[in-house]
Amino acid sequence: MDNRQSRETSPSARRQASGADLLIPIFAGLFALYFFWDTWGLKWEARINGILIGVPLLGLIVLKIASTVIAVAEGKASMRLGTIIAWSPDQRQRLLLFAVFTGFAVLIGWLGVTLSLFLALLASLRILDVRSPAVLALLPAGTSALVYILFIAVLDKRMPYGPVENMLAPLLTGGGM
Amino acid sequence: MLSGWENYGTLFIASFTHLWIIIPAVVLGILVGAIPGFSAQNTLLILLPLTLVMDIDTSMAFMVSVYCASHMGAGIPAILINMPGTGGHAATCLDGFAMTKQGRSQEALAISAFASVVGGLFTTILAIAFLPLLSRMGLYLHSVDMVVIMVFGLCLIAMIATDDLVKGLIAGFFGLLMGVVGTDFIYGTPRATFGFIELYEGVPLVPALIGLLAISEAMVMFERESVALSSQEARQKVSGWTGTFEGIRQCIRQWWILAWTSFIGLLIGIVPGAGASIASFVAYAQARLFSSDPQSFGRGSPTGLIAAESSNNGVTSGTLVPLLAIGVPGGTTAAVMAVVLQYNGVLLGPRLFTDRPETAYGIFFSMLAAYIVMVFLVLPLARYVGTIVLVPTRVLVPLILSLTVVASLANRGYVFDIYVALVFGVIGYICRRTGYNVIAVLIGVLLGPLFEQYLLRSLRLGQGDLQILFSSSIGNTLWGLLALSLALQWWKGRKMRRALRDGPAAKETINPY
Amino acid sequence: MPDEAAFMNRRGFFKIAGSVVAASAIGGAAGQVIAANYPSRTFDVIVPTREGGGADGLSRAFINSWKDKIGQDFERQFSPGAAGQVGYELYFKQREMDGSNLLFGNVSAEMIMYALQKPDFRFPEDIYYFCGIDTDPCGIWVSGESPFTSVEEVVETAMKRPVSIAVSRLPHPGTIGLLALAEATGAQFNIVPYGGGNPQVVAVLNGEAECGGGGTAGYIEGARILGVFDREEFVLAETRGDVPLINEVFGTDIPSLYSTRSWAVHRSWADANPDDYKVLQDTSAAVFDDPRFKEEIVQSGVTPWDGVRFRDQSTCMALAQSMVELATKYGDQLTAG
Repeated sequence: MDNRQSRETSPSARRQASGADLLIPIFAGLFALYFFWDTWGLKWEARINGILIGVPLLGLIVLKIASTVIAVAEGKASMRLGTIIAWSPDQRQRLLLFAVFTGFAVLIGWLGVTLSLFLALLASLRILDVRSPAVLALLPAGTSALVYILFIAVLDKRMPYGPVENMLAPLLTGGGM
Repeated sequence: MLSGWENYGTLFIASFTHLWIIIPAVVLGILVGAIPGFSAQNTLLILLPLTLVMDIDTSMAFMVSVYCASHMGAGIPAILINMPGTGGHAATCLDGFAMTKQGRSQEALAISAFASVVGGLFTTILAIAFLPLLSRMGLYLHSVDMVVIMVFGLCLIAMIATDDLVKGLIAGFFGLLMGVVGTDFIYGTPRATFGFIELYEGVPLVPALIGLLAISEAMVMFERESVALSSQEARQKVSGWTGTFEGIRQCIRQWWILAWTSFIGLLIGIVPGAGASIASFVAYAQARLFSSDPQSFGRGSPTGLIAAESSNNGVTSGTLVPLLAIGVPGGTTAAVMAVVLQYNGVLLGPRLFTDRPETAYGIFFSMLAAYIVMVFLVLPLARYVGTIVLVPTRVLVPLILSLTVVASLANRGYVFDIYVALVFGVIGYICRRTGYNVIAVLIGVLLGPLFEQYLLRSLRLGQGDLQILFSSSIGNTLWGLLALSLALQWWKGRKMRRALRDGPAAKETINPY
Repeated sequence: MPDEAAFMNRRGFFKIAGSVVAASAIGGAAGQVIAANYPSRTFDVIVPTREGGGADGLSRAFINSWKDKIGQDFERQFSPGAAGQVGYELYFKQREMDGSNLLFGNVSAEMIMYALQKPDFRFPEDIYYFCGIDTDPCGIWVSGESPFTSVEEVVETAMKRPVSIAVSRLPHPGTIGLLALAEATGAQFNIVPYGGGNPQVVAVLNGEAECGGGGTAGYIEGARILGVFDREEFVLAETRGDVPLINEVFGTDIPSLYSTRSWAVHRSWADANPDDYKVLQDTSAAVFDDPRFKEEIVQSGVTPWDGVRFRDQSTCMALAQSMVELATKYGDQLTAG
């Protein structure tokens, strides 16, 4: 049985914060139930592998939840989420970084890959307290220019176009081919 | 068929007449391999117009050089920033990045380069010597046998989850279930896609791998000043050539692991469609099984890295065998080569070895020459590329995140894939923080679809009867070997636990993955 | 020398590298302006299959001739997935209906997908297939070492016990042929999809499956074609030799079943711009008379030349309609639902 606490939790704490340990089982369990619901009624070939995996997964999740509940009942653990949700400067930076790159994905359709990458990189450097103007200017500009040259100009990957790409497009098609 | 050592010698020497194309091709291959989200296949497709106008021997020398070098190049971001560009390099991250975190990036890169080159050389020589025999190998292995090989790879989940079996298995089964997302292999009916058409082909592997490993790592990496745990120590280790020589020494010392795992790569590479993902994990599991110090795996074990890298390059030799011998490309890159060969009127199949032995064998000799060129190009590179660990994480993390989102996007061109990478980044981050094994999730996502494919084919052939899984003599032998492996693993684990219990200072038991 | 360097249509760097070879083609194209305003830009083509496959080679060879005749280049995007559904949905949801967005698909297989998966577009209301190119007749084939020497033997055995037949995928005209044959003769076929042509071939060659079913155009050394599903003739007889017609052997009336790759365009645009649409139809039909097209098909070996024949809009749409009907008829055996 699981007797090891989350790495998240502090060894010095009197009661382990085991709530965080249940996050993955909860996601996995919900996903397994969704899978069963979505494939309900399909022929056996389309379901068999999901059942072979999903049923033991649900069993393991029940085992994990039961062991946690017992530990909580015995006073050895609590259902707190521990430092995974605790507020700290690192946590703030992490959430901001995540928000910046989610924003990148949302805006890329309008701004194009070059400009959105420039902005995302600039913002994330600032979030991580980079102060040097040279780094703040050159790294985002250099990286996005490299991505433009490599992925759009040279390799012709289908990347979202925005103002920068549209402005530079005549240079690429100017060859007439 | 070729006969006589003189003929082999002539072809070997002839392959060096293509050095003028092999050297730039190797450089290009390393570069495209090192760019996450790109691949040898894409590069060769883009360069198809150029390769088609070259003569056949030159174009094949060019293509195999790009192919082999890209496999080695892909190890670089896997080792330095935990970013596997392909499924075949996920296993490289396990010990490669762990070594980087210990400030041993130069040593890890040298191991990657040396193991790749020697593994590639060894398997290429084997391929040349036993080509007719190996070409039949691909035809001997049936779907049921592949099911057992997949189980070999999946057993790694249980092996690495020994510290906390329940958590490890939850992680592994969660990954496997995510691997079932997408259309089913028999009817093509979408399953658990949340209505997203972008998931019909299954969870896109590159964004998922990048998210699980690189994004989740970046999310914790900035909490330290430097990638390496001790930047001072790292500075010492990346300066000079010590790490490079240590890496080479490790490879030479463990020559038999290198040979054995590259041979596994060769054999699995021969089976069309299997590929490097399964080969590297099976090889990794084998290396761990035979290791006297399995606990070091995942904590920066040179043996684990050797296994992952040499098997990868064994696969490159293997995938070309079915292409030439039966006209069936063993992988996507081999399919591009097939286009060039057919364009030049080369009839693929058994007759190739009698009609045009110089082309058939010449391809492998070009590969041999490319590997030799790589030794001289890559080992010095390790010395300088390894210094990336000295870049402060507050600069490195934004760069890694930028690379990951671009790589996710570049792979299929769908913005959707950026979200996939971010979601997997969150899953990976929570796993890391709560002691669930990220690698177990990753093995599940990677091998789940392959396992289902072979299992369903077998069951369909057996019309639903499970006995089909025990109907082949090769398969039954493999089942036996699997049982033996598991028994050996159990016995060694028991011995080790007893030693730890009795020993004065128990080793740290926290799962390293 | 054919215009190998221009067909990839990569902008920039590699274009410059290939420009020497491409120069002659561009020079030739400049003199052939077809219509005043159409086409006004490069064509964007969605190919709903993987890069490097048969559709890649065939469309590339076709484009190399067509671009000179229509005066614009073509840029292809490969969007494989779910038997073509991913590419089709992308085409209908995200591509402007302006006549410069085309689709290069496999009519038979993708119309079966349409009938079975009911994607978000409507046939025949939304699409015109206007230029079919090749023919891949469906049939039954075995490896050189197979004990079966004729299709009668296969059916005879299948009436006593199930015979395993490897197919590339279940929603395929070849599978429909097998189901129709089983229905007509009482044979039991255990049809096993392998998810692609290559693993299917390996399964037949290594004896895992007793026969192969589906397309017969791909050349496999040592394989023998035992019979084809065609009402009239085996169109590849010149390159693949004489093969019995299954209908003649068993006295059945199974429709002709074959795959054909075809160009397609948004129907609403074509109906609203008949003159421009005619430009597309006429210039694409003219490609078949171009000796360079033949030369490239023969050299690349992407498909046998005797199977290459022009199919106009009405023929393609009739084929598509018949596939939808057949797939609906056998739907319960072809879907998991």
